[in-house]
Amino acid sequence: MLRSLFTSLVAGGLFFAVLPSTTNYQLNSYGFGSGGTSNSSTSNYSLEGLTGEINSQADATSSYNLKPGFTQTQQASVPKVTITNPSNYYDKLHFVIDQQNNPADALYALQVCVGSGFPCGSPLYVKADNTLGATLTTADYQLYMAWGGSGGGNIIGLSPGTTYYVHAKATQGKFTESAYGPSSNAATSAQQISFCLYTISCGSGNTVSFSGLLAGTPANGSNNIGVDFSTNADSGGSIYIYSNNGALVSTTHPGSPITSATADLSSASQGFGARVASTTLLSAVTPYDGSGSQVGGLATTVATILDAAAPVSGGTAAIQLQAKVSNTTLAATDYGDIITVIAAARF
Amino acid sequence: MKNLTSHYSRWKALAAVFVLLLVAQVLILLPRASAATLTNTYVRLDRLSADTATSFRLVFKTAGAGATSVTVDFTAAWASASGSVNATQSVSSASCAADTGATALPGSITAAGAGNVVTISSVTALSATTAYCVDLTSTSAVTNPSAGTYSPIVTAGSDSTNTTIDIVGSNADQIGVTASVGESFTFSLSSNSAALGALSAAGPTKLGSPISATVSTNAAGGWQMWAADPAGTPGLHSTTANHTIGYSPAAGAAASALSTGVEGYNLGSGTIGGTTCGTPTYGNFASGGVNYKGSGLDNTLRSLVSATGAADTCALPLTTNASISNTTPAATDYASTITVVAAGLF
Repeated sequence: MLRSLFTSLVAGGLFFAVLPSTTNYQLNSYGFGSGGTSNSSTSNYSLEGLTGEINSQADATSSYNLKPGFTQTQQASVPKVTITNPSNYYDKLHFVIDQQNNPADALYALQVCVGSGFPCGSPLYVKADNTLGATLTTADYQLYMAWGGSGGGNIIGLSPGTTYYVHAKATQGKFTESAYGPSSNAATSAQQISFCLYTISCGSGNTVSFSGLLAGTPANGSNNIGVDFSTNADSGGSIYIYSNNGALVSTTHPGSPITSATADLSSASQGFGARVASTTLLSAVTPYDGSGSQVGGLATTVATILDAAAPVSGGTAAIQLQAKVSNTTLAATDYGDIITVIAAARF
Repeated sequence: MKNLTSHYSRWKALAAVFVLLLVAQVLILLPRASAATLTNTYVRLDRLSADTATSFRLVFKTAGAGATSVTVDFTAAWASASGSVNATQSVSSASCAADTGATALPGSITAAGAGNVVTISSVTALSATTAYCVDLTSTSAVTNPSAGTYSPIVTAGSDSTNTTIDIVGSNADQIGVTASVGESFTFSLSSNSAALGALSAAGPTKLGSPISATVSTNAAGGWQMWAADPAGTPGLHSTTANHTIGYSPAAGAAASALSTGVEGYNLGSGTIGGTTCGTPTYGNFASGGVNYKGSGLDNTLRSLVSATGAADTCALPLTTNASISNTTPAATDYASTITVVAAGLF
């Protein structure tokens, strides 16, 4: 009897040393169990149940888990995701999923912790619209290409100056959802705006003079007005200008102003205005974008003179003032005005 | 029967409890509206100078709809750096739309400040994804803090966003412009000769085309023009005939017209005209458009005209007139020199 038993066991052992296969198919994985059921389903749910499988973590190191059993062999590969702040973003961060050889129809979901790593008390999920939400729904599992593919995408609607941690999981078909992969983190920048106004260099010079204006000849101010402007605001920003008087006014002869107006001073009898002489990364706005002696008027109301439509770093501009007097502009040495230049960024 | 009634009552009670529990679950599970982020938002202070009072403009783009108030919270950081928000505010959306392309904030809007917050109330419910603008027009709507960056929070309904402002050093948002205009004065005569031609006792003769004496000046006090005859014997003098047709009327007298057959010579002036002439005061030489009318000259500069204010190509027409009698000696060299000068009154 013992001999018969031994023979049977040996035969069984030999049988399982070779993977069962036919010409076209090979059983790559199988286990022994005491039986079970699978694919019990309704229209919305499916059950894959096996008895006798080990269904809890058996062994683990700091980097790896051993998850034995037939169910684990069906899992999608655990994906990676990298999150970065490539361009001083204050309200978004860039992520790229590493598929880890998952097939093209694998779906990925991203979980986020704010301010601290995983696990966190109130994790958020990247929604299909790339915002963060408190719940993970079926719609938030998306294809790799829907998440931007190799170029990735941006998680938007974030808070400035905050660190975000993200990790991803994958699934492909039924019963295949992986665990979350390793996390990556990056911080949003603070909202930034920097503005400097000068006539020599930033922090130096705040006057422009016209000395000895002669009738009939447009004259340039002694210095250009320099503007430095930077911002990471999503919609850029603008530089504005306005005048105290709307004119060069003499205290001695207040009734004889050199009135500012948009004009070509080469043909106008007299006038005073500004034009953008040069720019870097900023755009001059009409009517300050003229050339030669074509100037924009300086009014007592605020006008836009420069604009950046997107975030700008190191934007600069030189604003030239020009003036022309007529034969009847009264002689005086005390003509003057105060020009205010301000900036605002569109966050 | 008793048992059946009891069971029925129990069933009703259980059903009621079930319904209550179900309703509770629904109430618990109903999704809350989540706050969204305003976009394209800025607070444009009309002065960026530290420690300076200023008005400001607010522009923002809504996410959701329905907001009926808007706030700008300048935050405690603003106050702790000596910034402030004025409790009294004035608000208008009348002019911002044309500047910004946004929609004027609708409603019979009012504004007030409390603590660090400006609140705009009575806003007509805003539309979703729409840009709005409004001006807080008081020149002391807020007072800027010390130089640095600050992040006011703009809220419209349940949606909000941070924005950031850069406050610069004292008056570092302004450029002082100075200019001087030099004194200018120009004067010219359109001609230096006036040929009267052959004089006749049959009647006076006047210069065919007046000579224009033109002045341009930026003298605030105006300008004046004079004339004199520097000759030893003023008048039309003939060396050949050794005879002088003297001025009529005499120098300094009011203008009068020459008469036929009566020897005389005078200088008459017309009405000034040009781009800018100011208000004139004529001397004795104004002819008033009357032929042969003028006044006499001598060695003293006598005022032809003065005018207030600056002049731009302002011309005074001058006419010489002469008349002879039957006894005026014949000669072809009757001549005189009239000096005309002008000056600006700076």
